Amino acid sequence: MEQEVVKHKIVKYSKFEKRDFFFAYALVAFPILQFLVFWVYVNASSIFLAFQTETGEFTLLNFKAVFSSFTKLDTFGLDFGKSLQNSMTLWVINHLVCFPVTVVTTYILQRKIWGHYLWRVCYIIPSLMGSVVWTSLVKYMVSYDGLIVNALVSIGMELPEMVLRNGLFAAEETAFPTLITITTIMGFVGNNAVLTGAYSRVPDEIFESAKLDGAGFWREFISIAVPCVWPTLATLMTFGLCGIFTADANVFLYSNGTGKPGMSTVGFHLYYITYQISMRGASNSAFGYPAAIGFTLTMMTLPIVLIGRWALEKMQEAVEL
Amino acid sequence: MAEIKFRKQPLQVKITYIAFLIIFIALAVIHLVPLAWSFLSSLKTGPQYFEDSFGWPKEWHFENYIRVFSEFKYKNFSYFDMLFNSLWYLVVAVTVETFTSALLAYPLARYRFPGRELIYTVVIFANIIPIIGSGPAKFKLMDALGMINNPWTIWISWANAFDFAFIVFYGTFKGISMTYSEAAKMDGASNIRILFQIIFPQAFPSIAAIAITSAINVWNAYSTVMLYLRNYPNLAYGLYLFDGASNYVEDSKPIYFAATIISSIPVIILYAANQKLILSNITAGGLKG
Repeated sequence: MEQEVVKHKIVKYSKFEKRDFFFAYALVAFPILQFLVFWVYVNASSIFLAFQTETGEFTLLNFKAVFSSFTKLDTFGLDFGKSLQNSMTLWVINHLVCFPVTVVTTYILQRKIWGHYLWRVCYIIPSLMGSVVWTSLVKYMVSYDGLIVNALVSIGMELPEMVLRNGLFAAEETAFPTLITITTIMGFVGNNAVLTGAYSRVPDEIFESAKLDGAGFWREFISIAVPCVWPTLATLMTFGLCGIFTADANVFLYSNGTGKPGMSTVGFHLYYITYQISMRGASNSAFGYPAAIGFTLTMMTLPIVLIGRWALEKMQEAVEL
Repeated sequence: MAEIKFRKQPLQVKITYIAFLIIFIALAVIHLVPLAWSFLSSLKTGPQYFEDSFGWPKEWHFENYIRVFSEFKYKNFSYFDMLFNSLWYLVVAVTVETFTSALLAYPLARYRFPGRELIYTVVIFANIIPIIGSGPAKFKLMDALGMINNPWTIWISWANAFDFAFIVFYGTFKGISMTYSEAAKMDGASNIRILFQIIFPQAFPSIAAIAITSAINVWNAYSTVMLYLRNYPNLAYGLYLFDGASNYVEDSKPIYFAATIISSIPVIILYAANQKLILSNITAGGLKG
């Protein structure tokens, strides 16, 4: 039997190519080193911590603590099951309701509706003022003597006694619905910058030729604008999937750092634990439980993200056809 | 994108246009009311604020804006200490964040070298794979490295190049024609010269847009400062602390509201002046990797 001989081609690089390689490696060296320390090492360390006792022995007790915190308060006094439920509710509203609305509102702003420049500046104000200032102002608006509570009382709405004494964020029945309402209103005009950039790159000629073919306003949006910006939409949707359990909706600020009453999200939950560790100091803290929460959630999110990304890529192929 | 010509549209589109205009106006009012209320509250005296927090100021106390510089303080930190911290965080963080992302994206977009595909795939992987809950592990590392309350080393953790800015820069550098850089190379220009004199000027709008966006985020950052730089509070963290403390100090609420307005003005001006630049240069294409 004739033996097949495979000859490996030895690639020789010229002096100029080697100089280019050296230059490229020099540029990427620091970002990669930073990534290795603050992403690879930190995440690997977090995974190991999830399976370790405080003395470094292998254990699954941290996961037992995670699963028992679904039904009772954890060692940090938070309800993990509630955090999970709230995060999912907020994600559904943000990504299945607000995001499609944003795609439409940004398109209409990009088509230069009357006052479009002014509206855009208004909508970005919360981001410009920062979450500390914005959330504090919103809290005053929904406080017991604020505009919103007064408006609700004046239209005859019956509010719990706690709301009349301390505001909408004070009562369990109203705190999370208030957070949802605020997030939804802000979400209608979110992602404006990235989507505007994408829409602005769609050539005018395509719209002009569609107009000549008799396409109406909505036909232009559905058949031209959306397919043209689909790669950007797919990227934002992928990031949205990744953020199911990391978005905290400013709960730390709205709830004065407590997550109560009933406002806690997973993003808040994890930040709160890190904050508590920072207050106690690393040497006085146990890292196994938060690491196990992170590992469990990563394992839950990973298939969702991979399937979601695969579906989005298939949709992109269909759009390109 | 072409403007909607209202008069030439059919009735159905005209109705939709008016409906959206009403929605846009309502949303703008919702966004502006807290800002306007904060401004009006900043002009009251403390007792007047507590007496009627949503009423019109009886007298306009513009001197509250001067008082911010002497009375806005938390523990030993004066307004100017916090302003100084905000400014240097901004300069350092924006520089390292923007340049590390640009310096990673540039060779990956324009050079062919062994390992390029692998690095690109890892960047995309890091962007789309959600690894959750590493905050405590990061705190442990920062503590071990002596980076807690250490203003000289904290900037290293800000130098994250594997983020959204990379995606924007990668698209920008990929889109710049190779003609100029190849011509410069044939004329003997070094790689560094090509980068700084040919590529960066052409990519300037994207770099500026990312830098401005990053500046706004850093100016308003409180959570990182709260965890890692508690002894070096910036204005955002200072506002958080002062708001809580002002509930117990007579006459300090209007000072708080004046401080919120003063701290917001620079970013609102920065954004309004550069809105076109930001909106037309921050975009992300597909994530292939």
